[in-house]
Amino acid sequence: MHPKHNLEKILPIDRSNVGCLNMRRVVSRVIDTEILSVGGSGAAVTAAIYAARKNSKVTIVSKGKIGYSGNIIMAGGGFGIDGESGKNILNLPVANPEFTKEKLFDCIVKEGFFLCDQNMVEQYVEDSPTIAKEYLGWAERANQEYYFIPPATWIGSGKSFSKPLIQGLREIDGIEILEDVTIVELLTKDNVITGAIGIDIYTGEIILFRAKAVVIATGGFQPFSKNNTVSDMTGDGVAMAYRAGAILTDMEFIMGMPTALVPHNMKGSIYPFVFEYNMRKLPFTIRDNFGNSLNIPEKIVKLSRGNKLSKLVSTYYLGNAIENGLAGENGGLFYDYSENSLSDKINAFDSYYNRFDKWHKHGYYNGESLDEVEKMIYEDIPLEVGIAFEYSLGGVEVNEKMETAVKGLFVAGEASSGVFGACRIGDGLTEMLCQGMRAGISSADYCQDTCKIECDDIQIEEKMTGILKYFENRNGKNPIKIFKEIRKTCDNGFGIIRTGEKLEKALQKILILKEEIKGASLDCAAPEYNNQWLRAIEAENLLVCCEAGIRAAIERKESRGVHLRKDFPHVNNDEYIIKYLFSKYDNDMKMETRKPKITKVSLPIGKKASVIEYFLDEELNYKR
Amino acid sequence: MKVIINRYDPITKKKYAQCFDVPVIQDKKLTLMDVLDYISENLDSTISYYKHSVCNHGICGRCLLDVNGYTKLACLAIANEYSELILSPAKGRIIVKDLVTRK
Repeated sequence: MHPKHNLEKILPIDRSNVGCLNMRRVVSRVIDTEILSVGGSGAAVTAAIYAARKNSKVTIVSKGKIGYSGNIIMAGGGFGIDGESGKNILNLPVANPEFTKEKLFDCIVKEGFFLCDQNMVEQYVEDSPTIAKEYLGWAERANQEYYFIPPATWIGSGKSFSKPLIQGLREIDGIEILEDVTIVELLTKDNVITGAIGIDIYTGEIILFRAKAVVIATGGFQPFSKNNTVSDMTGDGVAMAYRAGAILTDMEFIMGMPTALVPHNMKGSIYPFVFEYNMRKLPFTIRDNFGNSLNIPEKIVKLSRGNKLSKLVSTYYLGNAIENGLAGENGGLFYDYSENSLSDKINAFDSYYNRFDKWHKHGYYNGESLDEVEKMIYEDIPLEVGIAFEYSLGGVEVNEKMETAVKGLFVAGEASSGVFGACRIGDGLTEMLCQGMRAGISSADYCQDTCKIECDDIQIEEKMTGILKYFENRNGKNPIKIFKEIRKTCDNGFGIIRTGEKLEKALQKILILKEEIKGASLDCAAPEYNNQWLRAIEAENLLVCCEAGIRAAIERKESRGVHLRKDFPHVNNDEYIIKYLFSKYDNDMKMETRKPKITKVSLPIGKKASVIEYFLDEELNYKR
Repeated sequence: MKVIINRYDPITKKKYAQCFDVPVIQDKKLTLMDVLDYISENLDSTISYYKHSVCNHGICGRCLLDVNGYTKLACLAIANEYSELILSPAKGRIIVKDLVTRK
């Protein structure tokens, strides 16, 4: 017998209403607030703090633990601002003022293949010194130390970056905090935010939030089996915003980077890139499964090795080698350090630990021992490294105030789109902090001029039916299997190197899964920590993101940034410096296009043979 | 590998043990998170274990559970080091469902 949803658990009242499922009665708690900040990482926390400073009543709701939910804890690099502000605003004598705001702006636009909305880049450049100064104050009071490198970049660990956020929250009174609660739907009336619906993950209880404004800061989406993010990157906020009437852009761009495949228990660790970035005196050769070098031109190695451009370069070369059947048994290529002498290796590790022992137990990266990895490098055994995904460039379209197409809905951090265009070399941490700050200020200003609008009861009922349908469905597919199929579909058709044929096939499968998830059913009736229920909701969100991403990738018949087409390898500036926009139109996804917003740098014309040739073009005059 | 999970059903409030057979290749190290994912995806999708907001690399410290009598993180503990696994909710915490606990 199929289990019946345990309504008694979340409907502690009149059982006679069970038949008609009066949804208002399924709500266990109602929380009234002004600004609901959704997320547990840099953007949500800074938004909450800055809104509260403007005397707004703020509630922050995190799917996990504040500071430990979201991608900030996965950080392996750092965050930075322009060197001029580093010297003049942060008073750092070691900052390099030659790397000015103008240079930072110019770099981001070029790194983004001119697809950045330049008003968003300006916001990033202009606001980042203010929030960096504030954040470093929290860090100091939380006893966190960073390693400074010019022009003005701070290197640390995930935990060392999350603790200042907790400190910042401690220093301000009045913010209501809910942890382990996932927001699953936004509520609107006439395209204006009225609140949101959440689920307490442990109890399964439904919480109704009534709010004037919502800040979505829930991160991006990762539909691939190889990724190095926290487990929550299922596009929840992006898809909710889309359903509420917001527009999605740049969804075809998902950033990959070199990531561990061995030892098998460390798969998903970013130690290969952390080594490359921090042990620059330890060169390596990348080899295929037959031992042959990938022959990455020396000038490309020189341009990218040890800096963040290497993420794109590695994705390009490793991706093509994998596509050509040259990968090892785990799907990766091989980093060979044998050209280094024993003393070079010892010195490199000494220098690495000298820097990283501040944040990690000696011999460890995060919680994992590096013993086996070190042994392989010392014994000249190549390390199998793959490309795993870390960051979605696409998301909700916002302006420089973090406003969306829905009144009262603000989006910040990775869930937004626009700053980095088609490729991110700039810092995701800086993005989350400066956009969070701006969203907090803008949402507080909005609330001061706005009256709260009552939630629409009919909409609440509709949304609740959608959330609870999985308990009522019978003989549907298992959501956990559907989630696995999404990943398999995206690995095969939407992954590193794309073709029109594979993308079309992936889209057809995604559309089938989209239908199947609606009828998915659960094998367990308990609402308490019901993995199938949570996965079903996440799968529904992820499918929205995948559909938009794949549709855009099909239309974009060129290569640009991290969108690499085998059938269209060239960068086509004449036809494709356009953004694909997606909005909800009845039950369909409507697609439109527009040019990126330009404030300073004009758009180039012509074609380049590949994304690599784009960077080598002297006319680009790219120098970070 | 034989994996016994000591489960808890919050509806009936009953504890019970369930046994699973999980394929483990000796030279390919699996974490307990891999084992639980395998069971969830292939054998029984009703098992609850920490899967939300987890980092998989020993950073967040959320996936605590009891492994053959010792408290471990599911993302760091290596399954291959055991001949048989008995997984239980972490001691001293309130059991929510199966292996999920809270303070």
